Amino acid sequence: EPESDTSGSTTAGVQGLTRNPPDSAKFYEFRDVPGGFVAEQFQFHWAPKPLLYFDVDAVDITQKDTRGSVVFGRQDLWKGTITWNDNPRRWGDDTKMLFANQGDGFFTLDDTLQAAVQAAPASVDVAPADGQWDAGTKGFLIKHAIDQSAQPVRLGFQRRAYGLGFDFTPTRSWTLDAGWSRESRNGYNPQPLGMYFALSPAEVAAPVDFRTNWETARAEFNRRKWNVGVQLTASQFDTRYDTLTWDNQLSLTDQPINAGLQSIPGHGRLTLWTDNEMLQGTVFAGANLPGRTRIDATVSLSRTKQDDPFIPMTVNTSISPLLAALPGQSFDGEHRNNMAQVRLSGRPVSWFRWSAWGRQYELKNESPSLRFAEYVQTDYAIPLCGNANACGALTNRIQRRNLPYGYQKDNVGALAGFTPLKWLDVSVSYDRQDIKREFSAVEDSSEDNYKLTADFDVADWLTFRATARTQRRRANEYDVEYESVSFPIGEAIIAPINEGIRRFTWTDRDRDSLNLYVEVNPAKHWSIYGETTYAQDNYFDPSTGRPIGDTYTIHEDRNFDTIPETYRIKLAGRTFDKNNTYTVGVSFSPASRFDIYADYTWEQFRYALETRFRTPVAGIGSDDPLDDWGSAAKDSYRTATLGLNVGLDPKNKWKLAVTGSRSEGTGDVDTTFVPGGNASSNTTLTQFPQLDTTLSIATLDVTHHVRPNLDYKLRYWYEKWDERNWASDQMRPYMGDPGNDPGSVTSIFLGMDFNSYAYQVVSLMVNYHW
Amino acid sequence: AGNCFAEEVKPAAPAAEEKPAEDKPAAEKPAAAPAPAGYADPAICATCHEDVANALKLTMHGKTKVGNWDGGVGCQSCHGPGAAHAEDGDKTKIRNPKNLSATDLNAVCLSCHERGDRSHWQGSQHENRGLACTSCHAIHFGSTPPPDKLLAKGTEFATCTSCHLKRKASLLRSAHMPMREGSMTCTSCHNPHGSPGPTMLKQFSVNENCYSCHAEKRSPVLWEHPPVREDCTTCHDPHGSLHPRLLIAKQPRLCQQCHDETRHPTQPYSDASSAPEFFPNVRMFDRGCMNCHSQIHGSNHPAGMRFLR
Repeated sequence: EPESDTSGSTTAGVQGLTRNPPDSAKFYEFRDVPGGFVAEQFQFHWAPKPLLYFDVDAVDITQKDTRGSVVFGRQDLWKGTITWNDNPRRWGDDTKMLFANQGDGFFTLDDTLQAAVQAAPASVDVAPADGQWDAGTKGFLIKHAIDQSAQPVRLGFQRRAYGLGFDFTPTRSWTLDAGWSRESRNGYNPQPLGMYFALSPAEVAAPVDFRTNWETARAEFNRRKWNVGVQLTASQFDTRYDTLTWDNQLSLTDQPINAGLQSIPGHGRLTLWTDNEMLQGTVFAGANLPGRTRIDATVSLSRTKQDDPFIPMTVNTSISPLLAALPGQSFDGEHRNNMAQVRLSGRPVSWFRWSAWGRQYELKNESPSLRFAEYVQTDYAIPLCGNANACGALTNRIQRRNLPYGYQKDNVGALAGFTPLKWLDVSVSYDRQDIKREFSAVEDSSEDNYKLTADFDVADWLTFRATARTQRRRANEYDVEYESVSFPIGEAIIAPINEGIRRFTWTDRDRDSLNLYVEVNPAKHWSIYGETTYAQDNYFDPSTGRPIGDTYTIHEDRNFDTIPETYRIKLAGRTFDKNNTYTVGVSFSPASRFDIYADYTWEQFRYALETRFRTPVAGIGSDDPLDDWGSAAKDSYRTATLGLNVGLDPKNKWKLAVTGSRSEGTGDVDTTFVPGGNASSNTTLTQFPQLDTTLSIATLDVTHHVRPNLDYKLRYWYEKWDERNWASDQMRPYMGDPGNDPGSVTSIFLGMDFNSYAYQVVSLMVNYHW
Repeated sequence: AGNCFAEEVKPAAPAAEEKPAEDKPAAEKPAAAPAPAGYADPAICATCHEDVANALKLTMHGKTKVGNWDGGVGCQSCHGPGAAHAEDGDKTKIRNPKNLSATDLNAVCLSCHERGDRSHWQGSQHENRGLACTSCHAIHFGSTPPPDKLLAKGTEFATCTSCHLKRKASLLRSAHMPMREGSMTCTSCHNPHGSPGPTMLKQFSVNENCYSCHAEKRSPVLWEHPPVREDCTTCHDPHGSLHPRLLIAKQPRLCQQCHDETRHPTQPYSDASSAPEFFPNVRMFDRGCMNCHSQIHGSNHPAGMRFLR
């Protein structure tokens, strides 16, 4: 072997773009596509001596989405690794912010504006024809300020990840490795801000400054028939901004508190993410036993902690003097995620296989349950007892207790597989999952999961795979009032809120699914393939066995006056969930210089829910069945792709590659009322418009191999994306046109939306390798 | 998309006789160590199989000096003792993986690789469906340089979606992970060789998998949102969605699948609005419920019980 060996390749060239719009946030959502000189790829291999090596592999060099690695070491003995992987993240176009970022998470409005809005009369529109609130009113002032002073702001962050690794293999039985990596994110995220209820909604470009470190160390010992290892992982997350404070557009100052213990605040404050640290230890082992049987097991214990200091219950100076001290200086929260798993699997004879497994996973929440004697709602009010029967005197201040949520999932199961014929393989399996939860409406449930697979390799030209699964999940009970333990003295408003919650992820569920895959090769160069999937979930109330969406009548004393009242209960929640997908494709490869493929996928996801509108009255809520309503949603996708590769001359010096794809997505939400219904006091329903997105991509590459080590490629790339999204297309910093929902009259949003785009990219790249 | 499932063919050759291995680094072995019994001189294979041998040299398999547990190195570390085959060229006298069943073929690979993240292969979903290592990996790669991980189809995306057809489509959806852009791959989340986690995830739960990039969300907080803490996929579809932030359903319907309408009218009604389609309502627009309940992943604010703070 030569003493020294180098090889490598580089691809670089020039790139030009036509851009509409010039700086589309959606096009650049996760990537960088610059114009001008582009260093697309660089690989370098150097072996200074036999067994020693040094490899560099980098793509999109100098771009915001660069990634790559440097790997070096001594073959079969040790290896060092340096990796990096960057990408930008853009959130939207056309963003404008009226708030001024004062740094350290403080966002302010001009005092003059706040004072003027505070003093201004409520928004009225005596001349609807002009489509504007009357001059001098709150809405008018805010809209005028946005028009005059809001500044463009770029929403997005840059993600950078890099890592170091070292692997050491002193003998073939030992593997020791250690690694360290850091991921950082710097930039701005859109941050919605609710003041008190929806009276002054706002949104700012909140600063992001995240750093996450990961350290791992692993040792593994393996022999011919067994292996055992241990891994330690530690991670620390750190954020510079843990709170965000913003001015209230409706009030310059904290206004005096009233008899109901309410005070409009001059500003609000919320917490962002908290610093945290995680430590995990894992032991794993496996052994091959007689009868081609293997046992593998893993035990992992981890702990995640955070202990950020509590901020005060409110920044409202009119309220805070009235409050008792918080129950602690910090939360001292701790999660323990523990996992234990063991699996036995065997293939004692060629026609039979089996496996059996057991697994336990738990989130053990070791965080304290703290009692907050005087709770403040949105820096605005100290909620008082609304029902003397429920929580004592009406002047009692509502208390709150946090509920440290935890759960445990236990799985046991077995599988048996048979190959009775050369062309037929069948397996059946059963898995049972028991779930126990703390502080949950469903604290105990189990699910039986049956699965059947059948694989037919009927002939070389025909393959058929089928999977059928049926699952039945049942809960012991559904406690609609479980959250009442979070109210130490009782709730101000009870039944109307809680009884409607039917968490579809937990409630009784029947799930059936089917997957079919077929591949046919009718002729030597042809392949036709397809896949279809079907799944359906139906949901039931664990307490009554009735389907979700059903209604029934009960007689209960819910206002605590010892006299039962009559309620017509609507089992609100997700009633069903269905999805179907179909894929068909074909490929044709008649010669080494020619191949073509195309496929089409159609997907549809449907789900429905039943719900209701309830206006709490006197603390217990109205209960008019005419307020019930239902909704059926349907998301559909149609995706087509094709590709073509052609050698344009007999020696394959010229090659043509064409790809194309088109993906259409539509979302519909259909809503129905009870005939004659009176939801929200308005009986005339307007349906949500359809949501549409379409992504079309086409590329055409012509490659000329000039010499064995030199080629150049001319690429044309067209990409077009269109979206009609009613939720964001009309987003603008000010949402409060006359005739609007009163809640949006004084809004200050960022106006963020992804604009549709059409981009064309042409590049000429030279690839040289040595 | 080719057939990713291995063909089941009768084994053609018996496995090599097992012998204890020498447990010391291959790098320290003398270059001209005598071949174990039944094994030919490692260099002899290239005499007839020059193209294959040259291609193999470019791969990690060709570069390593580590042999199998019997001491066979180079081609014979997988093909087994080749002395008899080298003697007369009889194809039946050496192990040809093409003639092995998926189980037997995998056993050849696992004899060295059944460790680390391949430790859970047997009994995994892919193993149960009869996949062979060569369903995804090509050992004798002729291209220069060979693809990462010797993937038969060149890239992870092409390899995985040759069977998981609908995933190919879902990644073209409007909201997606940065996979099309190259910053992520399927194995950023999944271990196709099997794992102790659900759906072959690399971590032990869905949430732990997500936390490996979104570490800010793993923190214990004062006010937990239970479905968030239990499973991120309650609300997000990591493979792609029509809806922003990979949500599984449109706001406000997403939240309403658990929460009823109490006190929150979230349905558009006809109105004398001048807006083109219907009047804007802050409870429906942009992020819907999360315009106000912005801290939906949990809050550490003493007043954050309803995730408004």
